[in-house]
Amino acid sequence: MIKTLPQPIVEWTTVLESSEPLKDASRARYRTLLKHGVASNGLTVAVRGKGRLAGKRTFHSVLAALAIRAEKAGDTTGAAYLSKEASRLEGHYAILLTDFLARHTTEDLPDADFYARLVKDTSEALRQWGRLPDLVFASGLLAETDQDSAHIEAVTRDGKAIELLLPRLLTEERGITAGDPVLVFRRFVGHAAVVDVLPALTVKQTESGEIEMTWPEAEADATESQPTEAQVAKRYEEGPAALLTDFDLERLVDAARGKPARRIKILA
Amino acid sequence: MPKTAWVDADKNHRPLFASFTCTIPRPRTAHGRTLAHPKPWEYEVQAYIRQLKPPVQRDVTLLGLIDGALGSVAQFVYQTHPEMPVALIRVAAVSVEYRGQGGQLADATMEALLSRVATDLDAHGRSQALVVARVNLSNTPSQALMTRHGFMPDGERTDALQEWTMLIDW
Repeated sequence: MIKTLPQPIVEWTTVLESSEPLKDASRARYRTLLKHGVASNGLTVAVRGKGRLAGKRTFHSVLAALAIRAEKAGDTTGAAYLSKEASRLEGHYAILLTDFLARHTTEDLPDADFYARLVKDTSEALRQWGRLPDLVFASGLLAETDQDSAHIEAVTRDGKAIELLLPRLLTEERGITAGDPVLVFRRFVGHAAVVDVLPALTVKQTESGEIEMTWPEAEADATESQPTEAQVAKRYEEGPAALLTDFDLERLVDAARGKPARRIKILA
Repeated sequence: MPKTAWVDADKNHRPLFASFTCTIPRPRTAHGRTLAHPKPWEYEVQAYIRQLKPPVQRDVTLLGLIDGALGSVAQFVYQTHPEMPVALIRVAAVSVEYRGQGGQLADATMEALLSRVATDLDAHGRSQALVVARVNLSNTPSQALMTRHGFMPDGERTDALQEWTMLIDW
C-alpha cells in the first residue's frame, strides 16, 4: 500500500504556525509555546555557510507539529504521545541531524544516509497513534504553480478527489515544488477556516507493516503531472473546436459542390 | 428514451455545465496522483463543456434537458462563406447517465442540432448548408454517430482528428 507521510523534520516556524496559524512566527511566541505547549524541545543547529558560522536554526520532529494540531483538535492523549515521541526521535537522531543540518537544508534530508530509518521511526510512531487520517483533510501533490497560485490535486479522507488553489507563497514557504506530495489541513479558527499544508513523502508499506522508501514504480507515468482541466479545455478549444479559417471554408465548400444533400425536416 | 426538452443555453445553465460528466474521472494513484485519462478525447470534451459560459453571441449551445438535468450538450457556430453557410459543430456530448443506451440521446441530440441549423437558416432565406465536425480518430462511438446521420469522413485528416462533412437542405 502506498502511504503519504509528513516529511519527518520541520523548522521551528512550522511548529509555531501549527499553534498560531494567523500570526507571524516570532521567537518570543515560540519560546512561550515551548514553555507551555506540547511541542518537543527541538534541535538547535549552528548552521555553517562557506566555512563560517551563519546563524542558528531550530528543527523539530514533525510529530511535534502534529502534537499541537492534535491537541487543538481535542486529542490530548494523542498530543501527549506525539510530543513524547517527537522528543524521543529528536534525542535519538540528535547527533546525525545536527551534523547534517549544519551543512544542508531540510529539503536535502532525503540524501542523508539515516533518512530512511528516520522516516520508518516516524511512520511507526504515527501508526501507533493511528489518528493522522482524522487530522489530515486531504493528501495529494502540488500539480503546478502559476504566478499567484499553487494548484494542488488531492484526495480527501473520504476518498473524494479535490483540487485546491492556494496562494503560492504558502507552498514556497514550506519548500514544496511541483510534483511534491503534500498533506492538506483544514481547521476552524474563530469563524474562519484556515487551510495549510505540510510537505510530505510517499512510501510503500508492505503487508507486514514494513516501510519501503523505493519500489518498482508500476505507475511510472504517474510521476508526470497531468494538465489541469482548464488546460485541457483550452487545448480542445484550440484543436477540435477551433473555428474554421477562411482557407478551411474555401476548401470545404469547394469539396462539397455537387455532393448529394440530406433532406432535413424542420421541426415546429 | 426519456422525454427531452431542447433549449438554448443561457446564463442560468452555467451551474449545469460546471458539473457535466460525460466520462469516467481521471484515474489516480493510491496517493492521489492524477494519471492520464484512458480516453483523452472524452475528457477533453468534458473539460471544454465544464468551462462554457453561455450566452456567447457567436455560438449556439443546445441543451437536452431531462427532468431539469443536463442530458446532452451540442454547440455549433455559423461561419460565413459567400456560396453557402457552414455550421461547425464544436462539441457534442451525452451525460454518462444516458450513455450505453444504443446512442438514443446522441441521435436525438444530432437531429435536434441539424433541425436547428435548418430552422435558423430557413428564416434567413437559405435552403442549403454544409455541416462540419472534427472527430478524434480513436472515438469510434462518435464516428458511428456521424455515419448514422449521413456525415462522410471526407475532410482533412490529421494525426488525431478527421473532418466529417454533410451537405443538408430542407
